[in-house]
Amino acid sequence: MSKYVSIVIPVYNEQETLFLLYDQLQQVVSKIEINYEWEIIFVNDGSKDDSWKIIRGFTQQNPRVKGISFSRNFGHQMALTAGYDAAQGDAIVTLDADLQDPPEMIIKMINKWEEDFYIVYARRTARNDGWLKDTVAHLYYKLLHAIAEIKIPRNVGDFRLIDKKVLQVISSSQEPTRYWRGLVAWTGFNHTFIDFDRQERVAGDPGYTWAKSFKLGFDGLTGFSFFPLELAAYIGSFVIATGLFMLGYITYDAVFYQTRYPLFKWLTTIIYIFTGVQFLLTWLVGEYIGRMYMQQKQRPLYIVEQITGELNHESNAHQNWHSQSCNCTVSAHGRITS
Amino acid sequence: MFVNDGSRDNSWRLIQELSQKNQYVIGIKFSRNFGYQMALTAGHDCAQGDAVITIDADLQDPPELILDMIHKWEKGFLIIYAKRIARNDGFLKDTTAALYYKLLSLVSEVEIPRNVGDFRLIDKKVVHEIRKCKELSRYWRGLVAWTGFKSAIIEFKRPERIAGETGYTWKKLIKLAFDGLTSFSLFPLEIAAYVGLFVCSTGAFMFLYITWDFCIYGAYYPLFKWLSVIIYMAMGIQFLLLWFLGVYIGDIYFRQKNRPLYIVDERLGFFSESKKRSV
Repeated sequence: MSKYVSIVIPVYNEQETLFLLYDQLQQVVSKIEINYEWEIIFVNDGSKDDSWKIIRGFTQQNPRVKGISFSRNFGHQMALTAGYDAAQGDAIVTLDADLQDPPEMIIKMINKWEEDFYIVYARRTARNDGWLKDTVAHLYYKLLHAIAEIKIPRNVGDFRLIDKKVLQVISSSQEPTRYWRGLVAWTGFNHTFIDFDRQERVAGDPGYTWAKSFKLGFDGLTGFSFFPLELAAYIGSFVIATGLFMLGYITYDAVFYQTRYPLFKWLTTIIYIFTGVQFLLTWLVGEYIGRMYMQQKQRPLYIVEQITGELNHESNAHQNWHSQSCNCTVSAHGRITS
Repeated sequence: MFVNDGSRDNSWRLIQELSQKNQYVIGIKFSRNFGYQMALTAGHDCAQGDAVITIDADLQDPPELILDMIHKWEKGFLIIYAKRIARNDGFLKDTTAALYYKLLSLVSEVEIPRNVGDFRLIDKKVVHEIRKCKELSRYWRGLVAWTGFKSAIIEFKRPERIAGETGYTWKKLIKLAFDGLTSFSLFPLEIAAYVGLFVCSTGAFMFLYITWDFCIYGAYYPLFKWLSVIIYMAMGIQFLLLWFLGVYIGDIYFRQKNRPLYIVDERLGFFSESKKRSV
C-alpha cells in the first residue's frame, strides 16, 4: 500500500485566497498522486466571512478534501491541533491559507521525508514584515535559544512536514496552550530545513496581530523554560548581597567612628535586605509551581527513537514500549490520557 | 425535572406529589444546599432531551416563553437566551451589574451576553461539550457562551417576585461574579503586570532624575535617598515576578479544568469515525 500524505490548512477569514490556494494544491497533489495517497483537511477557525461555504464546495468536488468547522474562533494553534487530530497520513504537512507558504514546496518536503527526515521545516530566507517586527523576532529567538531547554529553529513558522511518529509523541501530552513550533522541536527527531522566499500577502489581513504574536511568543517562552521564574533568584541574591554590604558599612561606621544613624536609616537598609528575601521566597514558590506546571503537561519523560538488541521482558521500558500505541513514550504520570 | 437544592420548606413534598401525578415529572433532591449552579449541573447531567431548557422556579421567568424558544431552536439556533429588557433590582444592583458585564466582556476570551440569566434553551450538542468540562466552580452562563455555538436572543420583561425571598444574596452574587471572572480570564493575575510596569517606569524615571542631578549639578544625595528609590523599583520588579508566577499558575489552572481544547461545529468529508484521536 502506498504511503499517505495529509495536508492540514487552518483557515481564518481567507475567502479571497482560498480558490487560488486550492488550484495550486491541486497541481501539487496531481504530481504526487502517482506515488502517494493524499487528503487535504481545511480547519475553519470560526471565520466570519464565506470561507466555510467555499470549503464546503471543495469537499463536494473531491472526496479526498475534508473540512472541520469550529463553533467559534479558538486560535491558529488550536486549528492546527484539530487538523493533526483528524489527519490519517504517514506524513502531515501544515501550511497557512494566505499563500505566503507556497504549496509547491510540499513536493520538496516529501522528497526530504523519503530521505528519512522525520521533521522537515520550511525556513523563510526573507521576512517582509517591516523593521520593527524583524528586530523583535530576532531578539525573541535569541532569548529563547539562551534559556529554553530545546532549540527552536529561527525563521521557521508552522509550514512543515512531520512524520506520524512525531505526531504520536506530541498527542500523548495534552496541553491547553499548544505551541506547535516548540513541541515539534522538543521531540528532537531527525530534522532538516528547506529554504524559501516568503511572499507578501496576496489579499486579506494578517490574522496575527501584535497582541496575538506576543501571546504566542510568551507561550513559547513559558512552555519550555522556567527562566521567568528563576529571575527572582538572581535579583534576590543581588539585593541581599548589596544590602548586607551596606548594613556592614553603616555598622562599621557607627561602631568605629561613632557616626550617628537615625532609626529610619537603619530601617531603610533592613527593608532593602528583606525585599531581597522576598525575591528569594518568590523564587522558591516559583520552583514548586514550575514543577507542577511541567508535571501537568504530561509530556513523555523521554522519547525512544529506536531499540537495538533484545530487551529483558521484565523491564519497565519494554512494557511501556508495548502497552502504548505510540510505541515509544512513557507519560509523566505513567498513565495514558485518552 | 425539578432539582431541589436542599430546600427547608415543603418544596420537596410538592415535587413528590407532582411526580406521582404525572410520570413525565422527575424530581432530584440534594442532601443539602449545594448552590444554584450545582442544581443546574445536576439537571443538565440527568436531562435526556434534544434540547434542555432551564428556568427559575420563582415565576420571574415566564414559562410561556418556552414555546418561542423551541420555535427558534427549530430554526437552527443551538443556544437561545431569554434577555430581560428591564431589571427591577434597584439602582445599586443595576449599576454594579452594568459595570461587571463591561469588565467581563473587556477581559474574558468569550463574549457573555448582558442581562441574560439562567433562563435559556441549549441544544444537546452544547450540553455534551459542557459535560466534558470537569470544573468545580461552574458558571453556566459563561460556559454556555464559551462553547461559541450559534445563538439567538428572545427579549422579555421580567416581573417582580410574586412570593418568597430571593435566593441570591449579595454575598452569593459576588461569589458568582468572581467565579465568572476567574473562569474565563486571567485578568486578575495580569493586574500585577500593569502595576509592576507603572512602578518600574516611575521608579526608573526618579532614578534617572537624581542621577542627572547628582552628575550634572553635583547635588548631594545621601545613601538612604538612593536606597528608597531603588527599593521602590525593586517593588515594581516584584510585581512583575508575581505576574510571571501568575502566567504559570494560569496555565495549570486552565489545564486542570479539563475543558475541550476546541469545539467542532461541523465535519465534512470524513467517511468513518474509525480513526478518531480524542480531543
